[in-house]
Parts: sequence; C-alpha cells; structure tokens
Amino acid sequence: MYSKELLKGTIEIIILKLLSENVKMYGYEITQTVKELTANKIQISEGAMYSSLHKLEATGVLETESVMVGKRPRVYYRLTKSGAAVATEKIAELASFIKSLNDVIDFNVNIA
Amino acid sequence: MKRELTEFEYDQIIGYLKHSGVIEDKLIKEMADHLAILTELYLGEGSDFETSFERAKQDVKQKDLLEISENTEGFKGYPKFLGKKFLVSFAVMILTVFIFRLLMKYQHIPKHRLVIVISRRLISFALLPLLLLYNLTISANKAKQVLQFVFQFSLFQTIAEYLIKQKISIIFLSSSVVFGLIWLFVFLIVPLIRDKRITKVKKGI
Repeated sequence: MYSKELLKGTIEIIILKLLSENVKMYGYEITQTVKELTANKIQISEGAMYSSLHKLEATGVLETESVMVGKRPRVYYRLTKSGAAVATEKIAELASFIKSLNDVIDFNVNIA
Repeated sequence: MKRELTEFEYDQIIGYLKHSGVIEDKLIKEMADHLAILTELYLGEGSDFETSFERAKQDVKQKDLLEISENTEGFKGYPKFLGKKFLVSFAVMILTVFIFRLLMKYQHIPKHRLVIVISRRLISFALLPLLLLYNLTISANKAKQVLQFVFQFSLFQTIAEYLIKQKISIIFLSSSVVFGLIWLFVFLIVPLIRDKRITKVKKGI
C-alpha cells in the first residue's frame, strides 16, 4: 500500500478519471473500484475520498443525484459539463507529471 | 445469501452518525449508505448485526466522520454560483460601467464621478477578494495562486487607473510588470530550462 504522501494530490484525479469512464458512481463503489484496479495497492480512506468528492461538488466539477436503492437513498456522483473539461485537463497534467518524474527518476518503465 | 438491513437496523446507523456529530441531512444519508453496505457485507460473512456494525465502524472511524463533516461544511460554505462564469461576467459588467463612465464624461453628463467611485469599490472590495477566494478554493498551490492574485490585482488597478484618469499609473504598471515577470520566470522559464537540462543529462547517460 502506498503512503499518504504519495497519494496526496492524486485522489481527486483518480476520482475524475473513474467518473470520466463511468457515467455515475457512489462513494463505496469508487473505493472498491480503486482497490480492485490496483490490486489493493491504492486504498483511499473514506475521510480523504468523501472530502475530495464534496470539494469537487462544491466547485462545480461534480454534481450529485440521490437515487432510492431498495428502501434507502444512495448519493451518486457524475461529472458536470465543465467538470468533464477539468477532468481531461487534470488527467493530462498528471500524465505529463508522471512522464517528467520518469525523466528525473529513471524508473525504466514506459508510460504510454 | 445477502441479508439486507431492516429499517430498525438502518435507523441505528443513522442514530450513530447523528451522535458522532454528522449533522447535514445529505451527508447523513451518504455515510449511512456507506456504513450500511459495509455492515451488509459482514452480515453476509455470517456475523450478527451488532458485530457487523462494529466492524463497519472500525472501517469508517468516528474521527473520519468528523473530518468529512467539517470539510464538507467548509467546502459548501463557498457558494456554487461564485464560479468562473460569474467572475468573468462580473468583470465584464465592471468594464461596461467604466466604458459607460467614459461616455458620461464626454457627453458632460453630471455625477460621472459617482460611477468612478462605484466601479473602483466594486473592483477593490468585491471582484478582487472574490478572485482570491475562488483561486484559493479551487486547488492547493497557494504560492502560485497568491502570486496570480497579486498580478491580477496590479493589472486590474493599472487598467482602472487608465480608464479613469486616461493615464498610466507608474506604480501599478511597474508592479504588474514585476509580478508578471516573476510569474513567467518561476512558473514558465525555470521549469523549461530544468526540463531541457534533464533531457540533456539523460541523453549524456
């Protein structure tokens, strides 16, 4: 599992990436998807994830929809129109950052 | 077989959240759903409700709940409508007031000074503080954002001075230039040089 320091700053981008590939997702689904995709190497704490989701919602990047699942409500998140552009920009920025990081620390890995 | 929570059990989760200091309705629903999913997961492993709920509480600790609650209140304190669109429209409106003021002056319409005062107050006490707040809320690079704000402030004041007095204020112009150059140097030129050096070093290797 990676340290908090490494994860800091990437949680929002991970959320944006997942939401750009799925129409809508809810909190628990996001944490589980991240765990599955990374073979448990990235575990986002509930505190960090919900804080990021609420920040993205407050700044208009995400919007929420409450859906009744059985007898209880579930809050789904989706990208807003402007949020989709923010997601593309942030993902591209992270990709460029990883490439630069690869220049500084030669990992001998190819990043597409 | 997956067992779903009864209404009574779900209410117990709601009660726990309220007791933990989560007060916002939407957040209570969201966190209750999260805890309910975890509890149902443990129920499916054969534990009883009390044990399952205890395990779910271990996963989402009380301090996390408080952190989420406090952060959410903080983020929601920033009004949604004060986004980029609003700030751009506001800046355009102020610019329109300036142009209107120029027309008033050339048409010798009285009280054009009042328009000047209104526009300047709008810039100093509304637009610029809102810009700073917006910049600081969006992301975390405070140094970059504060520098960006100071640059925007000087630039706005330079333009405002020019529109009002028909002359450039040397103080504001020089500060705009200085901050603009710092911006260019720190955030564009230095990274570019660094990038080229790294590529050269890599090629040498």
